[in-house]
Amino acid sequence: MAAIIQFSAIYALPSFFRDINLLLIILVFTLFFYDFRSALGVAIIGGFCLDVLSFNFFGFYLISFFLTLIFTEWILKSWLTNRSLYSFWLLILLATLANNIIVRFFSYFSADGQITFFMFRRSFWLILAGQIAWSEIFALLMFSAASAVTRRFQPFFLEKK
Amino acid sequence: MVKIKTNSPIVIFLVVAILLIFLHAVGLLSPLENFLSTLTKPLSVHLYGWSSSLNSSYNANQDVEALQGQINRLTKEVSALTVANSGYLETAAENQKLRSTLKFLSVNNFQAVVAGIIAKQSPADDTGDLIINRGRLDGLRPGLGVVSEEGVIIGKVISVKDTSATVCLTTNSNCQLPATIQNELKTQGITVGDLGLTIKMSYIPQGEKISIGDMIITSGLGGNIPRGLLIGKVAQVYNASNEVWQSATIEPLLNFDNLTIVSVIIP
Repeated sequence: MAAIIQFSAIYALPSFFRDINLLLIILVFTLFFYDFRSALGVAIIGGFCLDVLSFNFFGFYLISFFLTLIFTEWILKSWLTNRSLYSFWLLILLATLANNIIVRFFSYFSADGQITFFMFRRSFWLILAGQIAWSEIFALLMFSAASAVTRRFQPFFLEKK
Repeated sequence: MVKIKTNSPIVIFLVVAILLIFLHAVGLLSPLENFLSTLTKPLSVHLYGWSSSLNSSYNANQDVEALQGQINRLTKEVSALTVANSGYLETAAENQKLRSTLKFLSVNNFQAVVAGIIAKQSPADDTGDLIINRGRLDGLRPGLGVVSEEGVIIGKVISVKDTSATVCLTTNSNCQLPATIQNELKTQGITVGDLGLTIKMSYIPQGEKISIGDMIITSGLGGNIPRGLLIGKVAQVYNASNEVWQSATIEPLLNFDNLTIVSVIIP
């Protein structure tokens, strides 16, 4: 469902809203709030659906989601020590950055270098900034929603009696 | 020695992903892909339509003043065209009678496949190409012309799958169309999209006279797109005397963001 919304609805929205990467947000959310195994499930189902619907080479989204997930899992395991909103923000920021770079690398090499290298294009940085902004807003909303339904992510303090 | 856990989720993912890619490459996944595309088409068409109307109303609110100016200009233009049209209708009727009399059959004998737009390519692609819900199974092939409901050419098919196809818009830099200017000399050239906003026609010899407002139509060269489909009108002409060629900026006649239904012409 998220793949269809991303494919048909989001890309047709006014330019600023087109930068929402719903599947990536769901992927990082699943990794952060559930586990790596569930996130891999999201990556394979979402990636497969987008690969079927889109006109990129088959495997484009499967591989890009997989690589993004591996990187995000590594950040989560190696760098982040707690599951706070700040951790989620940082994680989603790095995941968005990694995903954009991976996707643009694939696009660049599948076009046989006939397009300008993405790092030198203004549009790359603008889309990236837009995606990061949207991802952080969604992260805040999702974290608030998750905190409202479970005490797992609320801070706790040990008091000495 | 590195020991690989066969039940590791990463290994399972990789095996599934490689299997899917392999099955896709050999074509065994086609029934499932076609089923999935067909299943999601109605929802995709609705979602795209909803987003497209949202986009239109958002853009309309963005520049009301510009729209007001455009309405005034278009109102004047419509009045002038109505007068001109009455004359053309007379001519068309007379022409029709003459054709019948002379048994001169020159009806365009091409078929059209009506398609709904189901998506736009992602912003990361930088193309703005459209994806339509008709494909190879409907007789589509790369190179065919795509027209709007009004009959204005909006682009051409660039790639096809069994049940869907990608259409590049005339304003996209990856979209080239053989074209003719409706001037005295019927100047021919190639149009190419410019930054997703306008269309450019280059390599026009200096001797050719082009005026602002001249209509640009498809030339029919190449055989895939019939002659006479309207592309746009000349908005600006660049003809520096020290240049070998002159070029023109062409204004499209439609806002492509509002499109939801198109027709693919099969000559």
